Amino acid sequence: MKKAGLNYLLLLMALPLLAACSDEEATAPAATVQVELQNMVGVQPLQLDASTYTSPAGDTYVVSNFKYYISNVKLISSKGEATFLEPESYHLIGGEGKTTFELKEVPAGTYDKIELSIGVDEAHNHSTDQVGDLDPSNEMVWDWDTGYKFLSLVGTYTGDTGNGGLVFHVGGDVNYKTLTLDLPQALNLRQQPNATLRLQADVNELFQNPNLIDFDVMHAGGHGAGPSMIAENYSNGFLKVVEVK
Amino acid sequence: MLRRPYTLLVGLLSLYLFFLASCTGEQEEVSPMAESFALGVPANLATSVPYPDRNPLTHEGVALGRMLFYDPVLSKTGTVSCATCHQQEKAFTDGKALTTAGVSGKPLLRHVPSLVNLAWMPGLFWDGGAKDLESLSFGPLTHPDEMGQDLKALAQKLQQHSQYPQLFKKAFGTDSVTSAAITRALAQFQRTLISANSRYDKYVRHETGGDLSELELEGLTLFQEHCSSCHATGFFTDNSYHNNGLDSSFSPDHEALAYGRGRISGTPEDVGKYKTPTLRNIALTAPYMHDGRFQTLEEVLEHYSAGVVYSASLAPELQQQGRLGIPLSPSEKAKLIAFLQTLTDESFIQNSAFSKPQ
Repeated sequence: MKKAGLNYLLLLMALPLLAACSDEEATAPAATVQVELQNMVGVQPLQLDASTYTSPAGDTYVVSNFKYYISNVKLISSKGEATFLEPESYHLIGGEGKTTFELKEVPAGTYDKIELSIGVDEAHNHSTDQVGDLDPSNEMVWDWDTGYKFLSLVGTYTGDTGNGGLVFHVGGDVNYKTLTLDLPQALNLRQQPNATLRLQADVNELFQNPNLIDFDVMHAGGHGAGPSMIAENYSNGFLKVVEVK
Repeated sequence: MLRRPYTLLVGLLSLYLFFLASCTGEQEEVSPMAESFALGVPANLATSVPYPDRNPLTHEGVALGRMLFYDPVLSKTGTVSCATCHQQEKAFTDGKALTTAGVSGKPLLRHVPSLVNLAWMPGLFWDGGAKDLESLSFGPLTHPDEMGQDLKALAQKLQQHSQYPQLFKKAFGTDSVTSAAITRALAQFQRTLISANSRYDKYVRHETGGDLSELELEGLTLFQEHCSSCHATGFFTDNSYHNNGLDSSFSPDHEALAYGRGRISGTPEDVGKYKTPTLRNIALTAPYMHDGRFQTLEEVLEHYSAGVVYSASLAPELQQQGRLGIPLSPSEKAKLIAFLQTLTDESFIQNSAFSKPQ
């Protein structure tokens, strides 16, 4: 009786050894997925300082600096076959930041959606002593009101009644937006272990859908209702996946 | 007979635990050399010093923070250190209403706050905009009228310094200098700036040297009656935000700086509110208020007794029984000031652990 009990205990103890050391990911072939981001204005690639663009409200503008955070990137299979969440997923896109990043160790499977957020989640947004893309030396933080600028667009505008600087710094927990984007074709990592997802961000979409931004009325903002209008816009049509290759 | 299976079982068990541990993989890397720093806290203040999990106090971290605090290399020009405006002999203030000691020489828009018992403050700056000590330091470091420092350039300067990389390695386990490591070290040092050894504290703790005069005791009674709802004893602040009737209107200039807490919370009810400053070492930290408008404690009490003006967010404590402010007779003011002077902590301003490292 006693011996049987001990054997049983040993068996119980052995179970976690088997489970803990054999992660499913380790046995399934893992793939690397490249994510490329290109900033556009309409159908033209965004050119800093060099080009004058027309906003949806009919004002003209020039962009001298444009950057934003893409975070918590997830690949989703709508059949529920697999989901992949990138660990420590914070990417500063544009400016001196990146235009591309790699999702590593993605479990093999077929994915048809990508989920990502614009901004920095609440758990990371209330302290700025962080490293990598969240390093405050990237000048995407507010020091007087601790937090990250989720999106920063700086330039100049000429409106119907005025002209001057265009300074949109959008942040605050309410403006952290999670988007689910359809891939134009399914990504099968078993057949395509080194794929690239090509995404485009359209600056003009910051200024429309659903809120038309007239620079004569609003040409600056950090907190409050104005920037939230831009945040609503960037959660709606600003980013799309244009190619799986 | 029983001994062998027992030994075997222990052996198996340790092997088992070893395997389990090796499978968990990601373990938070703890700096192997840094020694944890246990700070004594006076009993009438708190039972322990709070800190965030990501930045525990260590001897090496505190020492590095102290060195950085006193080092003008932190500023763009190499001429301004934290201690330029936060001077120990003045309980880490600088005696100016609006200091001009920053790299640009322009006056700041708010008065230098005292650095004391910061570990227990949930919001920092006069409006609580900085959410923790680690994040706070980026403000003065980068502000063009304070230290004017680009953070990338700062990390580079310290990385190329003859001493700092090894000190960062001792404190944080890596000699790679990051913005985060710089302010974490500064935060560790600032958490050690604890003041609770004034004559008043000794009185509360029934220690020798804790004698208060009749005048001071009467002042204490008046204080408890009129002041302690905001300047709650212990820390002498409730760490909250109040409008104490300094102004009747609040300018939207300078990105609505005068809105105080209202600028942070974005709610109209908070416009004109500021964080209750601690009264510890108050006799050393003149001038007073968020803009240093009052030169003396007498002027401060005169304000509370006869100078309070109305605005929508005025503290209810300052508008009772149909009148503004707190009625105080000249003798009551004298008693209050006598009591406030018992909050001076000589051992705090003389503590060599807080002074410029040699």
